[in-house]
Amino acid sequence: MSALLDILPDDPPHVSAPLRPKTVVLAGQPNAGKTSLFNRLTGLRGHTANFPGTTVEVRRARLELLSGPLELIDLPGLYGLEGESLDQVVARSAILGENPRLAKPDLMVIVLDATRLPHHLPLAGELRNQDIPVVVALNMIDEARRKRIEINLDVLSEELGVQVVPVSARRGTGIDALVDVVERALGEDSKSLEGAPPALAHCSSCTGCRVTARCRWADAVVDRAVPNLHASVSRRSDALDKIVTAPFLGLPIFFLVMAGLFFSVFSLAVYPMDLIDSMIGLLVEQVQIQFPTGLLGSFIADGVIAGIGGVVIFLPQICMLFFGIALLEDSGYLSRAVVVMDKLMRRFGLPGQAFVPMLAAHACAVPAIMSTRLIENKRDRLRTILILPLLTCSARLPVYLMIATLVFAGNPLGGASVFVGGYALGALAAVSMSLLLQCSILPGKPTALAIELPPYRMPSMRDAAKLAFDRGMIFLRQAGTIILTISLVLWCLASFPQLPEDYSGPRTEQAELEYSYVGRIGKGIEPVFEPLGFDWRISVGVLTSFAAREVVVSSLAVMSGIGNEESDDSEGLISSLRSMKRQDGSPLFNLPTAISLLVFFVLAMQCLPTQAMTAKETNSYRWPIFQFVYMSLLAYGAAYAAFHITRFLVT
Amino acid sequence: MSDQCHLACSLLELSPGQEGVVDTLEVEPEDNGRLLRLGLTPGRRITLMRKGHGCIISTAGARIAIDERLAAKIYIVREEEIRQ
Repeated sequence: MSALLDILPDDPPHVSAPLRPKTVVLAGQPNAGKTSLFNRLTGLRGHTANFPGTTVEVRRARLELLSGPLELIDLPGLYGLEGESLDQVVARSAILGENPRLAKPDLMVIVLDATRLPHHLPLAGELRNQDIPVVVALNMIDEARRKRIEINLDVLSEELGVQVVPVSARRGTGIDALVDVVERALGEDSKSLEGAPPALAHCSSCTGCRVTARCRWADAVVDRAVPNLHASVSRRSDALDKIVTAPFLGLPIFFLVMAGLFFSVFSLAVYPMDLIDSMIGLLVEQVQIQFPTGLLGSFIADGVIAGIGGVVIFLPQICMLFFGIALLEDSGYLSRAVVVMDKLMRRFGLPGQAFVPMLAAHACAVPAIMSTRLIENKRDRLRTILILPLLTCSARLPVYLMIATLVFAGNPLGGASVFVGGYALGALAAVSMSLLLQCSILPGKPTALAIELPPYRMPSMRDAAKLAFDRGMIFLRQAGTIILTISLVLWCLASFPQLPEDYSGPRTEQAELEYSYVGRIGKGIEPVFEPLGFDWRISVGVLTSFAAREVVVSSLAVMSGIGNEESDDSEGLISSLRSMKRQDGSPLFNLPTAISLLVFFVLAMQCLPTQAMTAKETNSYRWPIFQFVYMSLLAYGAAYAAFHITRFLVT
Repeated sequence: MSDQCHLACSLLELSPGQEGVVDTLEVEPEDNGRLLRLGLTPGRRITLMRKGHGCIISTAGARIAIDERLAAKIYIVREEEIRQ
């Protein structure tokens, strides 16, 4: 790491010179290595923040240079200033200084991939003309040298009219020199801004001509600066492309990669999840020792800690899935997977790019909805957002597990079929719904595939870990606050009113819950859920699961009379659930009811954080309401059908 | 090779490995912008790498994947015709 850099602590000890920090933005095409460079420049201290006025997250960091403080912003990748995806619009408004809450940048570092100069130069030509001093960071210079691409830096610098610094963000070479040049350029006060290269100045009427002119200019510059470019074509990469996108081989390879990803995420995430679980158990135990009786102890243990625990427990899976996705993206495979999936996805009215959010939705819909930003077309994006919560997220798994053990105890094949059935039903519902949306309120074919296939590269663990960490923090911020709030509200509803002093029956947790508001509401809505085979106790479970789906397990544990504490003891839980009886004395959880409950939980919209995310990303309340209504109706209808069909088959 | 495409032919009429120069893009305005931004501009030299759903094109050192139906509306002047 550069000795010149010293990141400002939160409260700087030397505030004698209240300099306005200069703003420096990193701009470039996707896959130019901006984020790697940002991580190199800022070390561990960079943080993500919402881009003012939007939900797009950008990485920012404050650096302390010898000449004064500096704010470094890593903009989303862009292909040109006219791009239409949310990410590209944000990048443009930052560069042009269109956002009133963000100062116009004092300097722009354009990051170019040295191995693909002709492809990256047109953007540099466009950004070069934006009235902001520019420094070019020629990234991946080590890889270019290895491929024997010899770039004449003087010629390139002369043609661009700006300083060009060769760097390798991956290896950390040239970083000090880049900082040096940035510092000098900032000191010069826009002296580095000379007139635009003459080749770029002509023809400014139509955008098409401008892009064409820039490409011509770029090709001419490359001809002069990189005379031996043609020697560098990668045969290996093309051979690999032929295999992974081949008509019959592409899909099996895709499914193999995805199966590998999911298997490793789910099998490895168990360890940190167990750790979190036991730590929460320990905390609850401590609270119960400190406050053996009374409301305060219950509030802390069952309200606050349970609420926080319900969020944090999903963190390992979400971080690990995003780590895996980041590795796949960095390696270059993800773009090939988009090509492979595009044909299949288009049949269901979705663009190939939608598969990345759909993948993420299997961990959690909240970060998945955020990752729809790479879909350029608004209609395609909305369709994807609306169906994402139907896919089986990790919060549904405890419910699947409960039902699998309840119905198929000691029968691993049957248990597995519950899981497979849950995943399949969710995916089927998602694609059918997308088709339905396409035929009704969101008509139109998905945008035709046209994407860049970045070169295959060894992925960077460091960058992937940072991205996973960022996504985890976003999840905590977005979901954590909402889930904690609902958890506290639910605690109140479940704790009040308390049993009267002269209550004659046994004062069990079950009796307390039955007497509380939650119990009363459950009984009130019992008729609504009765056609699905649910009694008032399951209705209470469904109601409480609106905080987070898995809460239904502990609610049912309380309702069955074994108490919340023992709900971790799955054998105890299952046998006590089995012993729950209906009024006529028959077991509550018969096969039709269990199947109906499973179907309901696969399809129902029981996640307020997801709804909040939908509201933010669609910038309206209409779509989250629509999402809630259609998913609830779908869940109710399907559970009703499942209940009656199973009952018919059983008898 | 077909006789119909004397000057410019659709990208789909090229065989894998063949080179050409982009002549015109006769696509919807929305797609036009996307293709241009990816570097598929008139005058650029391209090589068709793979045909099928998701045609892969090599241009300016980058690989671009394009829907077959879009590729059908991208007109190319073949390398051998440029030389003539």
